[in-house]
Amino acid sequence: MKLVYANNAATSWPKAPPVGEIVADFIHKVPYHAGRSAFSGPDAALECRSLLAALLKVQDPNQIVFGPNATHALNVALHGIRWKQGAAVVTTAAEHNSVLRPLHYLSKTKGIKVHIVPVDRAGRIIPEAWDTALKKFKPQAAVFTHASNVTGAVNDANMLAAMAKAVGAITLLDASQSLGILPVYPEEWRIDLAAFTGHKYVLGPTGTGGLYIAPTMQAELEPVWVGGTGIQSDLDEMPPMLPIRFEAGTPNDCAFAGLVGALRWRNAQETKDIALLHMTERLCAGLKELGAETIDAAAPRTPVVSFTLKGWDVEEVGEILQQSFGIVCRTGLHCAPQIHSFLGTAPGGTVRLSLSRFTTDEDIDYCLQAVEKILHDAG
Amino acid sequence: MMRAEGRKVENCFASTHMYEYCLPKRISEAVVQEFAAFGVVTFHKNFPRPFFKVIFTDGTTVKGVLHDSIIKVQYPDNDPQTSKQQFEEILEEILQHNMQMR
Repeated sequence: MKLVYANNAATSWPKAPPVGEIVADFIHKVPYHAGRSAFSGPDAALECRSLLAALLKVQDPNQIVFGPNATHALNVALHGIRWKQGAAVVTTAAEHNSVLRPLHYLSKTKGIKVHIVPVDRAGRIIPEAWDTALKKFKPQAAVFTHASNVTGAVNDANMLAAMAKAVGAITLLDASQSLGILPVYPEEWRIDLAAFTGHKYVLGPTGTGGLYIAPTMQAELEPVWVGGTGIQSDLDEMPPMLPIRFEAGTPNDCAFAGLVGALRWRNAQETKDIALLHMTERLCAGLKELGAETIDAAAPRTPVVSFTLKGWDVEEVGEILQQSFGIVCRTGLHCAPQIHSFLGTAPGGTVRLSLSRFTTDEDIDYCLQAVEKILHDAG
Repeated sequence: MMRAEGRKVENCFASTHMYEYCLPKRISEAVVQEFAAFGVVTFHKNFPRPFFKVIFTDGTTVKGVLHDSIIKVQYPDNDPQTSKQQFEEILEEILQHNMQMR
C-alpha cells in the first residue's frame, strides 16, 4: 500500500537526507562536550548556533539557547520572566497548549491574568482585537504564534510585535510552525523571545529546539533549570553568560549534530516554497470541491490544510485515511483547544493534512482520491 | 485466559474510554460478520484495506481493518466498565469460535 506522510506540522518526515547518517555517525564516535573535555573535536553546537543565527538573522549566535523542543523553550521563557504582582499577559486563541498550559499554570501559581484575543474563521489573529487588548490590559508580556498549527494561517509577527512593544510588553513569539518555511527575524521584528523547534520544517531530528533571547532580556530572565554546565563550576549560581546560563545539563549533542546536517542541506537547496504553496492550495480547493468543509486560510499560509466531512467523525476519517489508505495525518484538537470555537470545529476538531517539501503532486492526488472514496462509499 | 488483552489508549479528550485489542489472529470477514449479531456493522469494502465499524446496542464502537490484528474499541461514557466486560466476553466467544473453525 502507498504511504503518504501528511503529518509534518507534528514532525517532519522524511528528514533532510544527511540527518540520519550524521546522527548515527555521531553516536558511534567517542563523545566529548565542547569546553567540558580534555580533548577537542568539531563543535556541532557552535556550528549549529551559527547556522541558526544566520537563519534567524541574529547577530550573536550566543543569544540562541538550545533545548529539546519548542515547549521547553516556551517554558524557559514563561517561567523565567520575573512576573510583577497581578501582571497581565495577552495571548491568542490560536495558541498551542505549549503556551496555554504554562500560562494557566502561572495564573494559578503566580496570579498572572491571562487575556485571550480572538482569531478569525481562518485562525488568524485579528490585529484590531490584539491592539485593543494590548492597550486595555497593558500586559507585562504578549505571547503569540507565528502560524496556526491547525489552519496554517500566518500572522504578521512584525506588526503584532510592534503593537505589543508600543505598550511596553515583553514579546514572546512561538515560531514552532514557521521556522524553516517562513522568514523568522526576531531582531528585525523587535521580538524579545522566540521559541522554535528543529524537527518540523527545519527537517532536523526530534529533541532539538531552542529559544532566541534578545540582549535586552538577558538580565530580565531567570534560569528555570539550574545545574551542571561544565564551566565555572566553583560558582553556586549559574554562569551569567549566554547561552550556558540557560543550558544546564548534558546537551543532546548527536541530535544537534543532525540539525547541523539539516541546516547545511537546507542552505544548499533551491527553495520550493512556491510549489509547496500551490500544492497546499490545490489540496484545499480539491477537498472543497469534493464537499469537505475546509478551513480557508488564504496566503500567507504554511502547508497545513484542516477539514471536516459532514456526517463523519473526524477521528474516524483519520483512522480510515491512515489504516485503509496509508495516509498519515492527524485528527482532533491538535493541542490547540481554544481555536476551534472560532473555526466552527468545536468540540471534535478537524482532520489535518500537513505537507513538506518532499510532498509530491501524486501525493496530493492520492489524498483527494482517498477523501472522494470515503465520501462516495458513504453515499 | 483472555485471548486478546485490551490496552487503554488516549486521544484528545480526557473523558474517552478507548482500548486497543491485539487479536491472536488477523481479522477475517467472518469475524466481522459475527459482530453483526450484537450491533450494526458498517463495512467499507472498496477501500484499499477494507475498514469496518460495529456499533453495539449499548454504544460500544469497534473499528478496524480487515486482515489486521488490531481493533480499536470505544466504550460509552455511561458505565464503560460494564460495557468493557460485556464486550470482552463477546470477543472471547467469537475468537474461540473462530479458532475452532481453523
